[in-house]
Amino acid sequence: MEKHWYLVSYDVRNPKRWRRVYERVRGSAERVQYSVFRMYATRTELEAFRCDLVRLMDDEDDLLIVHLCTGCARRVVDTSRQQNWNEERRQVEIL
Amino acid sequence: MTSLDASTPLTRVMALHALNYCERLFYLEEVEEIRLADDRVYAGRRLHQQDITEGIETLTYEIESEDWGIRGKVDAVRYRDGSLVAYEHKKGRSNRRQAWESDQLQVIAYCALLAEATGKAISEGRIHYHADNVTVRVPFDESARMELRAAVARANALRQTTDRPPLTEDSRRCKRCSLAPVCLPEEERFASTEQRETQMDSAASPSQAPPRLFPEREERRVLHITEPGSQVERAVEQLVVKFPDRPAICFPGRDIATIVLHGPTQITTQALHYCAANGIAVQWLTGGGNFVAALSVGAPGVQRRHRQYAALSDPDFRLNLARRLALAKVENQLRYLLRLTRPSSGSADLSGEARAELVASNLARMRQALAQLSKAETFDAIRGYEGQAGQAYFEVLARLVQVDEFRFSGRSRRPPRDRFNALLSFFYALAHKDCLAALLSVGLEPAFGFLHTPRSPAHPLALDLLELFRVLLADMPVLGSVNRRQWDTQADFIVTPHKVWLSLEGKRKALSIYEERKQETWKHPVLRYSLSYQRTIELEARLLEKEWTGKPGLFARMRLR
Repeated sequence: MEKHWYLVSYDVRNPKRWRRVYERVRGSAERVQYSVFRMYATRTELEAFRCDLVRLMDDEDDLLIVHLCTGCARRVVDTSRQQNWNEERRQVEIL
Repeated sequence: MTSLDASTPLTRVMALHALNYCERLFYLEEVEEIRLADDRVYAGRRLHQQDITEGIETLTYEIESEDWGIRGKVDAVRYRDGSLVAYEHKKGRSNRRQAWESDQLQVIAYCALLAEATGKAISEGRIHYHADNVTVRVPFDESARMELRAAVARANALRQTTDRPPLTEDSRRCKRCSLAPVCLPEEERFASTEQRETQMDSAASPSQAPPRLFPEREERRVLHITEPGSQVERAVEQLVVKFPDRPAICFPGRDIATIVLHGPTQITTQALHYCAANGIAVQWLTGGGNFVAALSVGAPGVQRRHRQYAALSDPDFRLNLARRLALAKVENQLRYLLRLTRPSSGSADLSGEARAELVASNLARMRQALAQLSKAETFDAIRGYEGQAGQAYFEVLARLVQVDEFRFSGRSRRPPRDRFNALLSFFYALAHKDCLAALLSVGLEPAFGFLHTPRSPAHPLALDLLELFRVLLADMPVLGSVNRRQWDTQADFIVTPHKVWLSLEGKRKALSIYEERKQETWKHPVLRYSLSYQRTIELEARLLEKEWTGKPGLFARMRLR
């Protein structure tokens, strides 16, 4: 199963729900801007993520997930921080 | 009425669906309690929460029926033509505007539950297929009731046995099954067609490589915590690594597969709870790299252990398996040496006549040990020939080290007396922990092996499995990195007169070389599909389990090219 980049953004109308959604999103994705996240996931991980969010969100809330193909991810303009979209993610972290 | 005593658990309606799809699937999920969800499962769950709740009165409570022996949650109930109708929603397509058999059984079970709960007569259930927007009616009549009774009786019968049911006949079902990476259906079919071919001794078409249903690589990340004084904490869904004198680093928790804690590093109870709940492996090693403990969650599969105990208590079976494993190890060692000493390889510095002679005589010793091994009839004989071959192997390996500081004379283990042995020991320890983790995740008992005898604290079965990977995961990357001069002889090692071990810097370098090696993909010589070495460890553990679940023959056949 291949991993792909996804851009995730949400709009939650209620602070209590927002907190829960925010925490769940951080379990799968890294924050880029205040409610914009990037996620590197397989299809299964993406579906599990959406499944969890449906439970936490209400009808009036919105979720936006944009699938970025490899070329798109390479051409992302992100001046916010040191995050690197281009390079292959390291599979192992030695801290 | 079926005769149900109080100890028989009620069968979930979803499990009846699985039973009708494949009895092996039912057994793995309901009896052995192995559950794995894939993307289709999650998408289906989301559909049940999201799309069908609009404007429909849903039942939010479970209905149980002692009489039928089932329990379940009906998707929706509606009044149609003056009577109640149970609705079931499916994400996928219908079977050419008809219901799939397993879906039909499921909705029949809901009808039965609903009839008993409401006390009203129910004549039909309906299934809505969302992908092609088709609704199918399923009558709830006498034949439907009989079908349901038969299915529940079959489910209860399967619960009583410790043997896994055979694979489904229809191999197309396996492609859409979320448990395929555990069940390994195509590998099993491959093994039986291969056996048939060798029995018939037909020179005709060699068996095709099995279609790959086993994932090629582990997608989540591995964290090694080596810095003394650092601590892993949990922040809701994130794992945070705190350091004594630099800012903390956060990781999304779902992105982590394994946390390895080296030496004096900490993990909080909250983080452990999170790891246990999300299937993250946690392993503790001493600062020197020796295995201490691993987190294992839940009740291990008791049926799997029953089969393991039964099989390994049989001395003949154990001897056969031990012989095969020893053969695999020695043959891998021999092939590696042949590769290194090939005249064209250029890496071997075998200029001197005397040296060439020494190599040749040791290779001959190994070949002889191989021949003896295949006839060995006792465990002591197997261990003896394996040991002889090992000695010859290390004698040659020592000649192939091209860097003076790393020259060694044979293997020295406790303690390692030179730099090369220190590296080997550390790499073996890392590979041992990975073998143990694979065995635990497969649900085998690591304390009950077949070649090694118990001695604390190492687990014999993990040592057995390790024999397959010594050359691939330790000897090759160690010798390669030494000859490429990747090591700093001073900074990476701590040398005392009696003992040599790795410094913190050296350990980190070793970890990155080892982990890189684990990520490399190769083609399995028997199954002929490519996968990472990391996944190969788990694959071999699963093939080992198959040795005593009725489909033997694939374990310990991997060889270096």
